[in-house]
Amino acid sequence: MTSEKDFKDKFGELASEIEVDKFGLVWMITDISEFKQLLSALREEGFDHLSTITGYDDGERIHLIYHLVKFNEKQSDEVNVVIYTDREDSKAPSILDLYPSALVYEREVYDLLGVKFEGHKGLKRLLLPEDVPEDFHPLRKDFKLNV
Amino acid sequence: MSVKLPIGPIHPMLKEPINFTFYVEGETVVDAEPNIGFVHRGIEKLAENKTWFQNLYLLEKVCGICSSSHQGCYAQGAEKVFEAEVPEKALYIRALMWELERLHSHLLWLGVIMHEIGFDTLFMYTWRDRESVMDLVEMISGRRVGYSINTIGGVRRDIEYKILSKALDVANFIASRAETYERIVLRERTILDRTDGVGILSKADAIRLNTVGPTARASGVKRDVRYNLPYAIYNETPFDIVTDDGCDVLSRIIVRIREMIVSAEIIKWIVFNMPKNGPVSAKITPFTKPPENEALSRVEAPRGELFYYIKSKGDLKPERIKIRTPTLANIVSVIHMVKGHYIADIPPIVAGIDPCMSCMDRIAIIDIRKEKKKIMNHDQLLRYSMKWYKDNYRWIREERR
Repeated sequence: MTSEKDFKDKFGELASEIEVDKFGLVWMITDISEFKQLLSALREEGFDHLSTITGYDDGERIHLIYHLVKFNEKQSDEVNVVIYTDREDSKAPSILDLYPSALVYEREVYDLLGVKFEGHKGLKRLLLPEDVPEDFHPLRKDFKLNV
Repeated sequence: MSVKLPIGPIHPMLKEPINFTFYVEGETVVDAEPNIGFVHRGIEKLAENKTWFQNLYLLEKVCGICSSSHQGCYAQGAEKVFEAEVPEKALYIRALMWELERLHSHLLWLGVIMHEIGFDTLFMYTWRDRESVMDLVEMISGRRVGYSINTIGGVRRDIEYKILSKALDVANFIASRAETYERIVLRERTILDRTDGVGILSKADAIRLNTVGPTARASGVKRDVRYNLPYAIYNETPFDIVTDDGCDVLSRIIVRIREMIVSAEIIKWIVFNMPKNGPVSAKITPFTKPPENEALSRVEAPRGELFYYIKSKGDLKPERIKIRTPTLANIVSVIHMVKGHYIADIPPIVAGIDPCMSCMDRIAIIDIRKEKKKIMNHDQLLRYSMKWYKDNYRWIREERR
């Protein structure tokens, strides 16, 4: 298992903040400009499994969390890379060239939260019908349910 | 007037329609495009509007077959959020349900794949054997599907001693049946003709496309959440990861059959090692507020890695719940697998990742040379593929050799 110090030595320059929470998970917060560099460095390090991309709107900005796993023989390493994007003009770089499985995950985040992934060819809705209005993104916090 | 609908990510796994568009040249598939979301129910958004305990019964309904995996995965993540200590016996009962679920899910899938290649006799046998597992889960939980056995902090029911001895019988019975199935599958010409060398996914591609579950293990990728990221009791449980290097549909059948034997072994281990006495749940009431936390939870569902991200802001309701089901992770691999194969091979390849039975409800086939589009439903495609194999089996056997 990689320790917190190892992560700080290897990726400290690319991530603005690295912390280990009480469950032993590593959280890396980074800037959008350095995000692709950090991800390709992690991929070279062996983090080749992308579990999913979580999009989360806290009301002020949109969090994108990339859950990565490096499979070891016992007790694998988990890293969560967090980037923040604007709510008004939400954009993030596409990671299709690094992780081809992000195809469906990026389409899902675009569909439900309206984050445009730059470099993703043919980015379109995944789950909602194609004829819903362009700015209809139900997982945003200003979308209220009448229940 | 605008209408508001509850919307959130869905679960493209069971009894739910999916639409594939295959691009073909003559008989060969050159590209495929899946369309999902026809039964999008908005569960993730709805989960933000329900309390932590109401969500147990909402998230169980994400899937009918692996309901306990979903509920257990959510309960496991919520326990991290609540920082609750779970009694050991509860973890054993939870793992017992997970393994029983794997047994009946694999038996169901084995029947489905045999039906897809037109071998309905084995389909009848596997579904008959599946009833013994279904009866057992009904004895344990009171229901055949949607067991609702988990709660935040443990399980809702204790398990009786006589049911445990019945679980041993079922495990022995299924293990012996699985050995019979393995013998049949490896010898029966009808099965080998339709599955050997079909739907190739190499090991490198399986890792590159982040394939999960038995589909990845059939390509020789030794990855299992129970083993690599142990949760609940799996840290102590002795078991082997089943892998196969065939990379085709036949390997996927073999891996799932052998996994049934491994699951039966785990069930026996659980029965012998389960603590005799003790509480089965921690004291968390529906009005307990959790601290501000975020947690990940991973479970090896019958189809592969199931992933939950749970965030709390200290309220009675969760702030965000993200679900990633194994079928969604394997959709990209299916697109890769069908390329270069014949139209007649589509049913076993798509069924090979264990999606829902009605997943291939409707298929549009576009012939690139003629630019013609024809739409087939699942039954027509099955009939077409059986007729095609009947007409062409001689040269196809030669070609595969």
